[in-house]
Amino acid sequence: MPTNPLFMPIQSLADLIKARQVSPVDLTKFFLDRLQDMGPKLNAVVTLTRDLAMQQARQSEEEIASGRYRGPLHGIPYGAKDLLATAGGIPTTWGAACFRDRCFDYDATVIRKLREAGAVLVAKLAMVEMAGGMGYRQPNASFTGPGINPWDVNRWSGGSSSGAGSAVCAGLVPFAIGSETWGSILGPANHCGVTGLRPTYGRVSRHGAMTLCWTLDKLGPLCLTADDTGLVLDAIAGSDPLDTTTSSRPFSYDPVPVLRPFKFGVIRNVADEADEAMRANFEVSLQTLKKLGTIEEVSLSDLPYDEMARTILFAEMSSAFEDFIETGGTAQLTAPEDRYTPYTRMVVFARDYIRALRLREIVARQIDEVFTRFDALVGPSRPTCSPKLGEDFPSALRGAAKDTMGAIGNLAGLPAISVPSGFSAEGLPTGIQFLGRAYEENVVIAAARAYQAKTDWHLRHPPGLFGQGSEG
Amino acid sequence: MNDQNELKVHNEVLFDCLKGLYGNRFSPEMQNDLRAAMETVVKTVVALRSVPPNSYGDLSLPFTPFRKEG
Repeated sequence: MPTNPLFMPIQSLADLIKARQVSPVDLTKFFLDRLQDMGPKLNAVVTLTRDLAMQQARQSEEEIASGRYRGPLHGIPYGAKDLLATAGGIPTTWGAACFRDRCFDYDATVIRKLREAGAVLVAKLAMVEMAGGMGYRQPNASFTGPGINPWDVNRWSGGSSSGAGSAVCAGLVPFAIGSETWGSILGPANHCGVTGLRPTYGRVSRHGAMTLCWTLDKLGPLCLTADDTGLVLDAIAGSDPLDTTTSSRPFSYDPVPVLRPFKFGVIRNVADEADEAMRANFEVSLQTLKKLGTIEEVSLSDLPYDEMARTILFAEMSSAFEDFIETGGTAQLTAPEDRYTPYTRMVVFARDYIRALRLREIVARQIDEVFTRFDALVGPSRPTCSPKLGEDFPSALRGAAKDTMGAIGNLAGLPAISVPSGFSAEGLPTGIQFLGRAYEENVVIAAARAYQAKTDWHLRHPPGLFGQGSEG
Repeated sequence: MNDQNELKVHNEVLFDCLKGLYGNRFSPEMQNDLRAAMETVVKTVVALRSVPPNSYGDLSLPFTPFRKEG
């Protein structure tokens, strides 16, 4: 290949492909080789989809050669979190040993939409078993092993979209599709120093995706840049009769820079419980954001946001996995705590679940009112940097940490994007999130793009480990 | 009942319920872990109940009547 495609943003790759300076077949082989070599070292890959990928790449090449260019994802390889159904004998494991051979006979809508956009599926990526809904409290909670962080192989890549985060970070794929119920896109994006977009609830069809929690689950991209997330969302967004929760509001990615000053809000005390590096880098980020617009402190009602999200998740997951739990399926899970914790969620009273749903209505209205004054609320993407392998981590899901922005954002179904904001003293990435009004993905992406235009954290990649490390 | 008592009673009642239904699936050690995990659920719902009922909104039901077209 005349150009090294490693860590190249999607639009740059697309320009080369469209100009026929880079071949989709060569590009696919390049990423398949990286996935094969490095995927196992990071526990990032469940299934390499080599045959399908080569067939899709050859088709892309033929179409582009004959003048049928589909758009910026045409010929671009990607990986999908292994909770998205794939036909053709490719297993969909949900990260659990008991499903390691399970195959579906259809593609998830997201997989179909990406195929129609010309993207090339090169791998099903590792994840925390059952998307983390079983109560895991340490990284070793997947049958493929703990997700390993390319910045430090003794640290976790985050979850539950573990493979998506580490594969993008290590340059094993140009982009990946992850899912978030509460923290599963923004977490790996934070820990791996990549850009992750959680779209508005209902923006992306979940047909063919594992259900953890009907009213909280979302699918979204993990990429190298904010611009990349917009390009991917453009391809996967849209209503779908197979998922009745999808919105009919159209989404079209707008890459034009916003020239007016942004209006940013910071929830009072939002960083107080974050660790030192997260807090310090967030403060530095605020200085950068001051060059892009105004920043104002916001006070929110004193409500049990985390508890609302947790109650909804507990109640819905116990129903989604009722059969699995009742038949003793959890006994086969990897993490010891995943074998018993799900039982505790089966005794959430219906009254408490309804209470949480009713409070959520209040939160959705209150936060929407806040967004009449702001383009985005900003805060640390997570309370901590990547934890060590083998150690328990603090988790909002288990009540061992506070994640107010995550709870509000997911309760109200709001879009958020996490972008790298620096490093800790140990060299671990930190992230800043931009939380936006419902259906305003273009605004949060534009804000994140503007931030990335002023910083170079997203251009830094793990050095040394892979022999092709890069600082630029 | 004060908060601590409510937590303790609630926790024990629900733990006994789980033990009665599924106890044979858990070793004594796992039962201790189960009891500890139960606390997370109980603390969560007790915190939720601290919000006065008049602060709640109406329930937005996802259900819509179905009629097959054609």
